[in-house]
Amino acid sequence: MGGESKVTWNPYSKGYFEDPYKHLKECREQNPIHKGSHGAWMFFRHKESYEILRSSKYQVSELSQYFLEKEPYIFKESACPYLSAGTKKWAMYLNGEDHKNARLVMGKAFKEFDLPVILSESVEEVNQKFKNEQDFDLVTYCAYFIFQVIKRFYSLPDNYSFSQIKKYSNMIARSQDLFVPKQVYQEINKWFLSGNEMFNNINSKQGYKENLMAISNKLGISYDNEDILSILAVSLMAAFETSKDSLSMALLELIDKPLLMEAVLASDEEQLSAIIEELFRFTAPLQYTVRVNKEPVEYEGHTIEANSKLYLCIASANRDPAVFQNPDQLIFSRPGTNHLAFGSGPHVCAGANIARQEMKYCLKHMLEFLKDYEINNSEPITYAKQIMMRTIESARLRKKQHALS
Amino acid sequence: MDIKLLLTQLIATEAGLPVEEISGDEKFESFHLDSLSLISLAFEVENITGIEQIDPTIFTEYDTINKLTAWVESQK
Repeated sequence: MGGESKVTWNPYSKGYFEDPYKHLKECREQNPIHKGSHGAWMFFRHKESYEILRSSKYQVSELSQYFLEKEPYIFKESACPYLSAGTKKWAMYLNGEDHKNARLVMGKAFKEFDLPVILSESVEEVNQKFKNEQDFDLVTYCAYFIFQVIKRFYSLPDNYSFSQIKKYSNMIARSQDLFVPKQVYQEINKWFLSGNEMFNNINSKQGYKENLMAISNKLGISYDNEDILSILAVSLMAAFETSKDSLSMALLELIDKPLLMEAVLASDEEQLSAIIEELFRFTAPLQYTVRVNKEPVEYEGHTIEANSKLYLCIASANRDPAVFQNPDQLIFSRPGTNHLAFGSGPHVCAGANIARQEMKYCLKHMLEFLKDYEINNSEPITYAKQIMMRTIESARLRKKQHALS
Repeated sequence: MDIKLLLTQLIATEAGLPVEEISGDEKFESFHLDSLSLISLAFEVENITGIEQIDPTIFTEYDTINKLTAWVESQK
């Protein structure tokens, strides 16, 4: 293919974590399908990612199995490897019946809750907590909101603090990232075990854990305690991380662009739905998803042997000008919702509807509160060195001068 | 800090070989280290040398202890 001068995907390229889109654009334009610096196949265009996500010729990569193979190396003789067990019912890494069952049970367990009420109470609580603050971290604001939601879902005992849950969620989320060293996996393992202790201490007869057990029994799906703990872990992590990241990135864009914020505040229900989809397209934290080809496949002259890992770059697909005009701009009147922020096909994000409801019930309430704040430029916005999920670590806000009195 | 000695010890540990069997000119691939081993090695080198954010693919470009030692020295 003569690609000597073409760019090769490398998330360690300068400035990647602060702004991955520049590098992804180069990859998409110069080398849209190639083997990245880590030796796996990368896809940057919307077209191929969309087709692969929706095709039955591909499966997801099984994370729990990966850990099962790697645990002897990661832990050597040290006690209690739990990475494989902790991830064994993570629906996004399961295929076939196992996948269907996990999604079914999780979906039904969440449906037992009155989501609009929980969301409204939680946004009210976060706005109350921050109302006297002159200067605060937007990420903490978003994380505290989702902590309130999770506390209500899980009936978490009061002795589990906000900072513990935030750290737990982030650590177990990192089990999915690329280029994770064994030293970090060992640390993640400890968080899995502490999470189990927390979940085992939930004594409430109402809540997500009880729902999971009741629904799986009713459906004749035999989950043991370890399976239930694994579902509790993934549900908490997925809700916490994606909501925190998605909200903080969307809110940051809107605080930075007051005209767009005004448009959100003035929107009617239909306009708000379109705005929410555009925010998901533009700021989706999910950057990549992985599929495995069951048979050899050919793309643009490259033969990809069976059982290869294909990294589909969602972040790049969502900025592909072949599908989205002026893709690097937030355009609230943009037609269609064919972004891949939640993936697509049989493994489309199980929490997509919850994420949409969150935005629908909370975005305006949050902006009504946050419109009195601006980005505090004296402190840098920092991003985590994570590849699969883009995460703002810190974005300080300060009260606008006119709102101080 | 003797970087070459440090890298030799780290690679010997990762490969499960005695230090004496590790040659500075031998390619990393001959130690049969998988990608997780190399990433873990990079993490250890970051911690010890203070070099920030080592690209794990560095082991492909600087594929022997001697080459990697020269690279680490050049980062100081």
